Amino acid sequence: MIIQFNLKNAFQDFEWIIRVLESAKSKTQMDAVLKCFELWEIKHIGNHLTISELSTMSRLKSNFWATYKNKNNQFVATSII
Amino acid sequence: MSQPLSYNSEFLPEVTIAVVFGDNPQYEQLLPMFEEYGYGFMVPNKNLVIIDGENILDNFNVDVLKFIEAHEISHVILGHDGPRISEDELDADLGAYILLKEKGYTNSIKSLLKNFKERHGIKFDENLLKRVEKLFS
Repeated sequence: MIIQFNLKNAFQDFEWIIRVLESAKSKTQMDAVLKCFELWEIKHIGNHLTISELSTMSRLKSNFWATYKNKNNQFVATSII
Repeated sequence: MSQPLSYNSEFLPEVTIAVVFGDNPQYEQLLPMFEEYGYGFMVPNKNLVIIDGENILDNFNVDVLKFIEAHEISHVILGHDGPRISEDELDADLGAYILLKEKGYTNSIKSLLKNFKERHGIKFDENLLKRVEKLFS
């Protein structure tokens, strides 16, 4: 329950970033998403988190990077073609 | 970062949310609108809400962003397509309250309530929701 309380805002902000990421249609939009993700990290990852919460945040970060790289490949592939 | 971020509204998917950043060539043209309407505004008859991206970069706050989105979507749901009058703004905030509550965005509701009296000159009361709730059920 404590984990849910501390991370609720981080989850809600993360959902927004993923929604924006999935909607990105160009490399420049991907750059903007990346900037938002950096701001998300600054806002939500810090000393106030417990080890369990940091572990959860780490999974969210991995999830973001997997989605980001997958999406980014579409633009790289498109520009080569 | 010159192109706006765009995505479908989670409150009303047929409406597109566009987040425009400062290095977009059109940003300067939009600036007077942001100054007049705050962090975002709806483009009439275009199903488009434009949000000031610089505000996000200065202060990353998705709670406020969701409040802006819900407020602008409420204008769409309420059929406000003319010049803004204070009653429209009140009703759009009441609609936003309903939309945000449905999604469980309690922090966004706090942002809304924090400025409610300053924006409308009256204290928020759930009885006020009767003004708009038929259109949001």
